[in-house]
Amino acid sequence: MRHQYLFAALLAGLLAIQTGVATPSFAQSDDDLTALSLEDLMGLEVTSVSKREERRSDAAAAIFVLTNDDLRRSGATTLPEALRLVPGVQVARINAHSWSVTARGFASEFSNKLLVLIDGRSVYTPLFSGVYWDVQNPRFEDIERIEVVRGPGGTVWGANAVNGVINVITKATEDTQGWNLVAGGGEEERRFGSIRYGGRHGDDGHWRVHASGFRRDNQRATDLGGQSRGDSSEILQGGFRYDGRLSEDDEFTIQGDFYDGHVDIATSSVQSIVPPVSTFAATESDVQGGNLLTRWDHTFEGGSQSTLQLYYDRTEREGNGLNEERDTWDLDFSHFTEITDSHRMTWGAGYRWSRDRTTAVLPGTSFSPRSRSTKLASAFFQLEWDVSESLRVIGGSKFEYNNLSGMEYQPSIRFVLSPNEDHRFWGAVSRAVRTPSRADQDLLLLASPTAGTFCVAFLPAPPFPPGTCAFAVPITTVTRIQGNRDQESEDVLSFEAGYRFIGSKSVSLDVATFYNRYENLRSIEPDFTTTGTMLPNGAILAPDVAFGNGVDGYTYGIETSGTWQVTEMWRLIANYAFIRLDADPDKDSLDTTTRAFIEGATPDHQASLRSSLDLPWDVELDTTLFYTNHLEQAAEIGSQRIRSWVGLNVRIGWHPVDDVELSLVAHNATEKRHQEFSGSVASDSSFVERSIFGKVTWDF
Amino acid sequence: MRFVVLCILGVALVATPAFARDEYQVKGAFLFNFARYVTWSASPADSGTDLPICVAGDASVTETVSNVIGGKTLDGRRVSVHQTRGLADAGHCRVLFVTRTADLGDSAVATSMTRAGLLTVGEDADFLTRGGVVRFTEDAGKIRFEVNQVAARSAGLKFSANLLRLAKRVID
Repeated sequence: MRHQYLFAALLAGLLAIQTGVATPSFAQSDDDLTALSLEDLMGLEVTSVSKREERRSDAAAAIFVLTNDDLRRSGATTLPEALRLVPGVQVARINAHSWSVTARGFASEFSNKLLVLIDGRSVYTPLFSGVYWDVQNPRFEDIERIEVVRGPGGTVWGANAVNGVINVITKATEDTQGWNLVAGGGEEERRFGSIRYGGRHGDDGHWRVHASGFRRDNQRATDLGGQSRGDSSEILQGGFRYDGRLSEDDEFTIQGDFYDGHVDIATSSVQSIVPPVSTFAATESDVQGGNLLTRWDHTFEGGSQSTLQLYYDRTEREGNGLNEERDTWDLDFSHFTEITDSHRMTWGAGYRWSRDRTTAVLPGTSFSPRSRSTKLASAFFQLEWDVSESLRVIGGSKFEYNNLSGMEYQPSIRFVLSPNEDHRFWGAVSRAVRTPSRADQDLLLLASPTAGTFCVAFLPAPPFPPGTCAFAVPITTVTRIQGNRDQESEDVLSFEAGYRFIGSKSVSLDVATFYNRYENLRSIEPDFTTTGTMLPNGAILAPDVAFGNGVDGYTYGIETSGTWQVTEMWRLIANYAFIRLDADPDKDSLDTTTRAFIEGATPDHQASLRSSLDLPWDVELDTTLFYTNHLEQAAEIGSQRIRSWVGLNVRIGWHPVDDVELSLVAHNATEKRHQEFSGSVASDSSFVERSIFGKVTWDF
Repeated sequence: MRFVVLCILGVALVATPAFARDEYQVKGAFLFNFARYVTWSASPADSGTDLPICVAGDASVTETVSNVIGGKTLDGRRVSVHQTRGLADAGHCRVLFVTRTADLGDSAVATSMTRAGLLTVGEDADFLTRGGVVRFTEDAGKIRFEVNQVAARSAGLKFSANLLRLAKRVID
C-alpha cells in the first residue's frame, strides 16, 4: 500500500509543478531549420509525412511503438527492460538473465501466448513455448522501432499470437552508414561494448557489419540465504545486413547473426530420484546460435506489392539438465493489392519446418521421443474495406495445419471509425490459438522430491471426490509430470474495443479494453493409479500427472497510455493497465493447481510515468517511474506473495560534441533490491538490484 | 525520492516550448541544403544577387517553405521563394520543387522534368524516371531523398560527394 500512495503523491506533485511553471510561449519560428546540417535534418521526425504513421493511429488494434530514440533514452540494456515502457505488457525479471514477458496475463518464464519476431524471424521456441530472452540481444543502436500489438494477431501472424505480437525491426543499412562505437560498464552491467560499420556498394546497395559483447553480473538469490545466484552471463555476437536493389521494382535484403556465450544459474535442488535427491548445484549453460535471412520485395505494375522471405535459424543450449539443438527453416510469401479504391487485400502462405534434438543430461527433464520435427503449413487472407469516409472494416482468417495439433483457423473482424480527424474508435472480435509445444506432448519431468504425506487409505469415490485421503503418513515423494500426445491447442475468443485521441500535436491518448474467453487451457491432471509405487531409493511416487486441456478461463482489463508534449523539450508519457484473470477447471478435470498459477502470476495494476527532458548544453534527463502491484504466485505449498514494488530509472545523457554521447544510467535508483517474480520450473529467482553504469557512444 | 523531485523541478524551470515539425518546414530546409551542395554550370538566367526557389503546389506549402528559408543568404545570394504553376513558368528559378499537390495538367505528365540549369525536386513515385533530379521519400516519419545523377548531368548540375553519400539511392 505504501507504494501506491507514494506513486499517487509523486504523480500529483508532478502535475502541480507542471501547471504552475510551464506556461508555453510559442517560439516555433525562432528556431532556424536552415542552420541544421543534412544529417540533422534526416534525423528529424516530421508529422503528416508517413502513411505508415497515419495507419498506426488508424490501426484497429491496441498498438504501441517504441522508437530508436525511446530505446536510447530509456537506458535499457535488454529487450525486456525496454518493453517495460509499453502499456499492458507485463515484464518481470526472474534473475539476471531470465524474464517473464507477457501481455494480457498468463505470465511465466515461458509465457506462451506472446509471439516475438525480430526482422520477421520468429524467436518463439516450440520446445517449451516461449522466448529465450537471454539470447535475444539485437544491437539497440541499429533498431528502427519495436512494434507491440496487444491482443490476438493470429489472422496475420499465425499461431501463438494469442495475447500479442512483438515486432523488433532493425534499421535499413542506408540509415546505419559509418562507424558507431558503444562502450560502457558499471554495477550489474559489468561491461558491454559494440561496434558497427556501414558502407555503400554501387548505386543502390548498402551494408553493415556489427559485433558486440557483454558481461552481466550475478545477483542475490531470493533463497539460498541470500547468497549469489550465480546467474551471470556473458555473450558475444556478430552479424551483417545487406540491402540492395535488383531493378526499379525489386529490393532485397540479406542478413545474418550469430551468438556464442554462457548463461549460468545455481539452483538449490536437482531433480533426481537417486540419492542425494536434493543438492545445491551451479550449472553453466552454453548458448549458441545463428540465423540467415533473405527477403525480396517486388512491386508489380499497378502498385501491388509482394514479399518473399526465407530464413534458417539454429539454436543450441547445453546445460541445466537438458541439451537442445534446433534447426528451423521458414518460407513466407505475402502479397498486398488494391482491388478497388476502397478495397485492399493482403494474402499469403508459408511453410515452417523445425527439428530439435534433445539430450537429458540429468535424469530430471527429458523428452520422448528425444528428437521430433514440427511442420507447419499456413495460408491467410485479410480484406480491408473503406465502407465510407469514416468507417473501415477489416476481416480475414489464417488457416494452419501443423503435425502436433492438426488444422487450426484464426479469423478476425475489425473496424475503425474516424468521425473526424481527432478521434478514432475501433473494435475487434478475433480467435487465436496457442498450439501445443513439444513439452506439452512429449515431456517427462521428475519434479523436486518433497517431504510430504503419503495417503495410506483413500475414501471411496463416489461419494467423496477421487483422491480424498482418509489416513496419511509422512514420506518423501516424487512427482512425475508427463506430456500428453493428445494435447490440443489452447484457444481464445477475444473482444476488444479502443479509443484514440490524435487531435493535438501536444497531447495524445490511447485506451484499449478487452474481454477474452479462453478454452482448453493446459491443465495438470493427476493419475491416481500410479500413486504409492516405491522407487528403488525408497522415495514414493505421488500421483503421476499428465497435461490435459481441462482449464477454461476469462480475462478482462483496460490499458491506457497518454502522451503530453509539455514543451518542445519536455515530454511526459503515462501508462496504466488493469487486468483481472479467472481460470477454472472444467467439470471433467481434476486439476487443482493451474488456477493459482494463472491467477497469481500477473499483477492486476501496473503504471509508469516517463519524463524525457532536453536541457541546455545538450544535456538530456530521463526519468521513469514504475509501479507494479503484488503477486500471489503459486508455490509448492500454498502461495508466495511477491510484494508490490516501485522502481525508478534515471538517465543523464550529454553530447559534448555532435557525434559523441556520454550517459549515466541508474536502474532502481531508490531501492537496494526487490523481487519481481518467482521462477516456475525450479528455484531460480534473484532479487533485482540497483544497477548503475556509464556508457559512451561515438558516431563517425 | 527527493532526488527525483529535484530533477523534475529542475526540468520544469528550464524548459521552453514549441512542437512537432511540419513536413514542409523540414523539406524547405532540405531545399536550402540542396542549393548549398550543388554547383550550377549553366544558369537559365542571371538572377543577380537573388537565389530564386520556386514551389509548384498549394499556396500554403509555398508559404511554409518561404517562412523557413525565405530571406536566408547562401554564398552571398538571398533566397526568395516563389509560387509557380510548373515547369512552364519556372524560367527564372534555380530550384523547382514540384509538390504532390501540384496540378501540372495531363500534358505535363509526359514532359521531361530535365531543364538546363534547373534543380528539380519532386515527391511523386515516378519523378526521377520522368527526368527529375531529386525526389523526396520518407522512412518511418523521417525524410530521405534520392538523386538522379543522369538528369543532374544533363541539366548541368554537380552535387557534392557529401550530399550523394546521404542519398537513399543514386541513379547513375
